[in-house]
Amino acid sequence: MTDPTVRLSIVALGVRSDLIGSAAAVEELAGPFADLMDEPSRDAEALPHTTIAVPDGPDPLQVLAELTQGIVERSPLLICHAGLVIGAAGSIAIPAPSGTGKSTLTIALVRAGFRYATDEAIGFAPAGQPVHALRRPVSVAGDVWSLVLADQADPPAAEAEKLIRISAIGSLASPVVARIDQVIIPRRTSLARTPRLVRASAGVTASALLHRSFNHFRNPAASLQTVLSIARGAECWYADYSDATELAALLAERFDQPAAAAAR
Amino acid sequence: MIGIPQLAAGVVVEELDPDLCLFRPDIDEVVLLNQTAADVVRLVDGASPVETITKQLGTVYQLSAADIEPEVRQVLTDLRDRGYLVETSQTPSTNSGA
Repeated sequence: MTDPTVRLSIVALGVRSDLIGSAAAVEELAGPFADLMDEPSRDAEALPHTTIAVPDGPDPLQVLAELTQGIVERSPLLICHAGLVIGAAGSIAIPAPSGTGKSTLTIALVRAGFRYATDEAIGFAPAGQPVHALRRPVSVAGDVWSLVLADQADPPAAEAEKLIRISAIGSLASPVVARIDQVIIPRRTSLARTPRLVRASAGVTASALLHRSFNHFRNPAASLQTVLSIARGAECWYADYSDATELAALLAERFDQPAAAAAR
Repeated sequence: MIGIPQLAAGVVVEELDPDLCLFRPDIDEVVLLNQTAADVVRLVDGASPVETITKQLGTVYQLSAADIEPEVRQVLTDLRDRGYLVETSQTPSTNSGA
């Protein structure tokens, strides 16, 4: 690596991250990371800071993984593994572990008209304060691409993954939202011929958020109060589905209509 | 559990209607109770013996006390063993102030 130069600076979840490397190496990331690029304000100087060295011929997926890990480790917020989209009737959080289709569902929701906040992590401050989403490029595997992005050109190979800018396939929301209005706990099952929503209790929802948290162990008592506040303030649902696109259509009908917003 | 159950010192109770969340700050452990178990714990007041709790719960659920007593005892015993409840040495008559 020669002539390291800070080219991409990102402020997310209360963490400032600088990606540094040669101009050529960092330039390769400019496409997929463009939605993240930011000019950190002076305020950001005081934030926890992480620096990620970008090697020549960077693997964007590796850089994204390191960036996400650096942010999650340093964020002062309670970080939960969850997607977040914004519709006409408010925000929808989708807590779920890796490999269960969370990103697929998030992409399907964006394609159904919701605005993207994150498909990876939400940062919760103590009760009553805004919620922060980890906006990032989305990694899409070839098999997922065929499900939710089949009309898009240049898919990856079936076993490969590709980073895409969300702004290329849908709308971006602000990464800071006032509150969580709906919590959807996805339950993908081949038994669900048509998607359906089943009310979930606040207790189940608080438990789901806590189980999906990366860093609740730092302050368990405060973390519990944070997830309890979210669960008490939101409508909570199980979503049984087998097809992410069909579930996205149901959620759009239910939570992305002006009438739904007016009813709240 | 055969005595009079009461919440252990320090246990934090969070209402999540209809569920109930119990938190032990000393070990940073959370227990989420479903509605049935929560209804049992809501009747734990440090004065009522298991028999009274069972009778009250039976009235609410329209079930005989004999039918539900084993499950009530199971919930209370489990929570006692996990440190969320303790048994008091009080008897109903001494606690009533009579």
